[in-house]
Amino acid sequence: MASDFDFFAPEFQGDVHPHFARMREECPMAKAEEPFDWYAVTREKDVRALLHDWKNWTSELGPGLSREGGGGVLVSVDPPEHTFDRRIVNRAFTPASLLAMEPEITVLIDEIIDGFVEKGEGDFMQLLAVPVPLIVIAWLLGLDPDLVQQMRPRADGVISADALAQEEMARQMRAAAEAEGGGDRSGATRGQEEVRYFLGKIAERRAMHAAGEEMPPDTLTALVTTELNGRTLRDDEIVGFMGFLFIAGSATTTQLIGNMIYRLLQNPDQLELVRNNPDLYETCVEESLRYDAPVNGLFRTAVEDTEFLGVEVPKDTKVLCMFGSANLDPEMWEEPETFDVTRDYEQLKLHYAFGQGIHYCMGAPLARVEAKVALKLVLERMPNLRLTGEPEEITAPVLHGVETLPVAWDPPASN
Amino acid sequence: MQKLVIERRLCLKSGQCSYLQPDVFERDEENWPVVAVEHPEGEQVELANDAIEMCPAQAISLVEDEGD
Repeated sequence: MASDFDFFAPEFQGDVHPHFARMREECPMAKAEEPFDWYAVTREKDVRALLHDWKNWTSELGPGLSREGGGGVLVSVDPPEHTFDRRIVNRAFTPASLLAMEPEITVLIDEIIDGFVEKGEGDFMQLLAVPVPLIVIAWLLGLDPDLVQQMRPRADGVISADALAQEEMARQMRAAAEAEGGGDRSGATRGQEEVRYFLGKIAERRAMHAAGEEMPPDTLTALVTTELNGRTLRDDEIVGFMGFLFIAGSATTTQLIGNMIYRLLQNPDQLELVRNNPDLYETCVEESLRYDAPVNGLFRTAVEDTEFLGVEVPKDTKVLCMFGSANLDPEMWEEPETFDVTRDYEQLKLHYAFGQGIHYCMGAPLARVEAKVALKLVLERMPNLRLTGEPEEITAPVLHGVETLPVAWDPPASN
Repeated sequence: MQKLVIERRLCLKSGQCSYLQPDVFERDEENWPVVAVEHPEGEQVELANDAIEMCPAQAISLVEDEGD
């Protein structure tokens, strides 16, 4: 049987909306051939059905196309392990504590803009969309923001190399942490250096905890100290979480901020609406998440031989739940192909950009705050913002949106 | 008496409540959460509080029920 679509083709990746529309219409359970048989569901009701049915559609073989068992953390485990992980991380990462970071995030973005606003032009991604989420994640994990920014290329490399490997880096880091514990210091790779750095930070916190010192109120402290079912997390587990949060929390939010600004520049009427109505900031962020889901989709795996939409699905078959397409399904959305910042917020927030069901993104409140503050300050401090060229599309297939965003604005008048 | 309430306006359909505490929460056919025990008592209060803590939308609360 021929394949229905080629997810990895530049022609598909460069403009996903029309491909999603064709798949929803012609092949709702679409077959891909490479690198082995897998499928994609693109209609909202089918994406929803799979995401909520974790007993039959597991995450245990990872959220990516690789079948290597996943990284052993959140995105690649189901209950009961998932429940344990999620409780621990939730305590380290409560919605309230993430929302409380808004003032600090405002100061951060203001300072970053201070650093480049005189230039009047540049690549918006490198200037703002890339550094903001990386620095915020560094804060949460108790890491040095400058070092974390140097690590960024590796995180990107992992995502593009293996298509959907949020879990892959976490797995590698856990393995490296275990090797480290075993005393194998030969042939240290860059990854191992990072693991060593993470382990050093964990050791510092453990020492502070043991000495009864006051500890920074961040995610790393919670990971080190939280006790559940009579135990705390081991070093390799914490390193796994750190690696996972590092990837899951940076590249994705970078895409959100960049994609949102790009669509506003493409739609000047929407930009004016938002500029004149701060009440629309949050709706604008949600509309961007709907229109350009930063993660195209993630996989679930059939637990046993089954049938879906009339297609026979052997056990262990991977199915890509296409978040970005569910977000454009005319069965759910009026005029889905229109970027409209005045949609009803309560319905809009039910888009699939953060998934749905038990694996719903835990960092969603943080991503939302970062994007809202970035939007506000960009509008306030970069007047007459405009495109100066065509953006390039990001090459990592799992991610969607712009890789570069060449812009110019009116710099502040020098006195 | 305390009443268990889900604010649908805030709910993100993450499904955490019904999967973590199926004795207290259910889901309808569209995967919206539904309170199964409107007035939790004893251990059910703990179960409800666990779901309240874990809800990523902070959409669940126990409120004083002024009614009869």
